[in-house]
Amino acid sequence: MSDAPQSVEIVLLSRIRDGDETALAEFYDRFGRLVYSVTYHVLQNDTLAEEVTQDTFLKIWTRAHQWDATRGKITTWLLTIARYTAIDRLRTEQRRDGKGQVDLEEVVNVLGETASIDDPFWADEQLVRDILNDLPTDQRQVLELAYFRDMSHTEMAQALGLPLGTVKGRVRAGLAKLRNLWLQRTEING
Amino acid sequence: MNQHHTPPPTPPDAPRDLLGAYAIGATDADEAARVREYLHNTPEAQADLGDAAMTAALMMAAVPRRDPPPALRDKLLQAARATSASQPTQRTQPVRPPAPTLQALPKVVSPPVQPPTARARTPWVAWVAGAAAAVLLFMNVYWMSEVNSLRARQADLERQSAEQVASLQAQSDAQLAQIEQIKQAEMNEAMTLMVSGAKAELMDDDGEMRAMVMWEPGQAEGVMFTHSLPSLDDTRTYQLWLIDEQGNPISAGTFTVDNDGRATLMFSAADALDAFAGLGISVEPMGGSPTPTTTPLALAQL
Repeated sequence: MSDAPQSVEIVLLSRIRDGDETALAEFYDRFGRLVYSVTYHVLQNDTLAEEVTQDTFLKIWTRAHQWDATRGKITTWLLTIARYTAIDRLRTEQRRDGKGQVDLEEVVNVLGETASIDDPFWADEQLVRDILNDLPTDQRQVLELAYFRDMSHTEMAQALGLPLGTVKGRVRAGLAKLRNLWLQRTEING
Repeated sequence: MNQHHTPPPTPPDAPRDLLGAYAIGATDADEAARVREYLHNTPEAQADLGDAAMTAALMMAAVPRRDPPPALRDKLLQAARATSASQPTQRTQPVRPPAPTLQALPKVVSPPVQPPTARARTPWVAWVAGAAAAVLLFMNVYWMSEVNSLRARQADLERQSAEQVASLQAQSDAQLAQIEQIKQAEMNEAMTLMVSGAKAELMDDDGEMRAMVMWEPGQAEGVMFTHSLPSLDDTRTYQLWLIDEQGNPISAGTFTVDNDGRATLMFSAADALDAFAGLGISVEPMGGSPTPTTTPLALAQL
């Protein structure tokens, strides 16, 4: 992502911090689709994703001052808030429904989805998607389950019918490979 | 593989090896506790955790895109409005109605800080920005405290003045004027003592001070306090203007006043406030205006 959009984002966040509703609308126009995509990816439900997306932007509205430039880009911060808000909701919904496990078939289907590349605010989207596609499926699966479905090592081992050590190994190897692929590709492209 | 053989318990993973799993939320409760303890005792490990978290965050960039419902935007803005109305104290600054214009806004927001990059961060920039914010916050708190104290003192003076007026009704107008002069002089003295930096008094047509703006020389941030401004109905708002050397008004934000006509507004300009020629307050439609639409009710020359 170039510095220019980040500067725009900083200005928008500054205006939001000042209570500028117009800036919140612009911020939503810029990131609403991305946030909704993440919340839907976690919750797999349109109604819940809509509510959580609204909650996410309301958190930005009331906590814009909490963004710390030293801890990452605004996009990462925003999406991390979106992810945690969605996971909190997922936990609540699972308790309400008495559902302790995610639908693995659903997750596998999600992994196979493709999407158009039309978000100019995450310039490396295609690069990241290529990298994830290069991850072995079993490694990507456990990363998805942990990251988007809030499943622990033990929960994944039970759900997948795998030894705990195997799951841990896949998580560790998947993250290491993801990092290495990212470094390699960005060096090549950079 | 022997299905009936129970594998021996494996030794727990070293916390260092669990950082990645911790970053993506894969650790079980006992593992997470060990990682937290490790992070507490090994501050340098925070960098590794941050690296793992940033790596994991890449996964969000690859999430399949999905359009939100069109109505969500309006719902969000309505909810934000309701939040502003019901919980104004959640903000670091008083909640203001929408700022006036897209054209004017970039001029009044804080100067953009150096954006970070994933690989080469500039912590000192953030530190400087943080320190500046802390100083400003301290100044604001200090000023608020001083102004509150001053207001209390002013109330005492007014009460004393009223008592004196009652007892001096039979005395000459000259004596009353003298009391008023003493009161004003004390007020001015207190104000001067209160602020070591620059200040400007916004006066109305009758020469009465309606607002004061204070700032540190060379800084682009200021704080404004109002006094005895009339309350406005829901369709109108006050707007503070910075007037540049060419006489162009630049919005510094909108504000409303409490029942006593008081308001506090922190604002930022694109340039140091000393560079501006003046300040003004006008009444504008709710949401503010690109340029003043009414005659300023209070002005100050810098």
